[in-house]
Amino acid sequence: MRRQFLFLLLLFASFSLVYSSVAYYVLSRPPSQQFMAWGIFSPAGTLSNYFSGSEANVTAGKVIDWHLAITNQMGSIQYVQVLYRLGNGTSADPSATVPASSIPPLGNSSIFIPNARTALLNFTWSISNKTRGGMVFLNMTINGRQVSPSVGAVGGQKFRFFFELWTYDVASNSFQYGYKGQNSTIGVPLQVWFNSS
Amino acid sequence: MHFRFRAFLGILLVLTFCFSGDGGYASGETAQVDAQNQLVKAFVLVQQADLAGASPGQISQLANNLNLALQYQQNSSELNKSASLSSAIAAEALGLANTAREQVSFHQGVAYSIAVGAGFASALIVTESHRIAEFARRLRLRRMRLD
Repeated sequence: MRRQFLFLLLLFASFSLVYSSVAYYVLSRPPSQQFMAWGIFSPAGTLSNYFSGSEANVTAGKVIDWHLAITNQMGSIQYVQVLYRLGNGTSADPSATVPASSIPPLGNSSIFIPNARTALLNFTWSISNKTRGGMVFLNMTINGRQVSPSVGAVGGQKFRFFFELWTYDVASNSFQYGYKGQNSTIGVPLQVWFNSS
Repeated sequence: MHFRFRAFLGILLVLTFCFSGDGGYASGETAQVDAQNQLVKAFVLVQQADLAGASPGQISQLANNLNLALQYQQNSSELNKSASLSSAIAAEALGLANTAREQVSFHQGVAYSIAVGAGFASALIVTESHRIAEFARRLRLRRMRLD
């Protein structure tokens, strides 16, 4: 009788262990790689033809309307900030690890994006006027704000916009460059070249 | 004497004006920082609710409100609106996080209870299988006799 009871107890423990493991597996969130992806879209909604057929030459007064589409797959809502800078052909690029800190930012746009969702930020800009001479400096309007970038380009050629994605880090209570990867932060900068004609 | 008194009053007036101006600027900046802090606090609580397992629909609604508070914050005349909306979001997120945690605990409790119950039932079936077989045999015999 006692032996039978012990056998029952052993079986009970074994079955419970197996079923509890199944329950744990069912209740656990499936593992997924966390990432953020984004792109710059033209007014036509494409990832090309940013200047509506006029090559990459931008004349003063021409208003250009782009959309930044940002997808959040980080597993939770994110507070995202996009920083934009104007560089030239010789400016130090932002990379996967460091932003282009040597160039002062022209401005930023922020947004909250829930997990597994894509948000759009508008980026409307135009060249108000430019200095004449060898080195061309621009006065611009970006999202309704007048800015005067400190970077110029020889003959107005090979300007480029840098776009950097920053995410809010709760631990440091500030925005961090890129998004949090498994071991480090991952920067995903974008750039668009243009000439001032 | 009369002129000195007037000059003194004038200087006092100018100084008062300057300080009040500075104070206004400082209080404007403080309001901006306060609104930003409130917004970040609300975001942290919404993120906690999200990680605790609140439904995507509810989180999406709170995200819309956070974006609205962010818009208010960018307009200096609507900083108070931003701060109060952020506070409301924070309170709602806190409630959501608690509800989500309770639900997760409840579901876990139910799942593990079922697992233990099924474990007991399985053990019982194995140890008493001969009796079950015997019972089934008797039922079959009884049916045969009735036929």
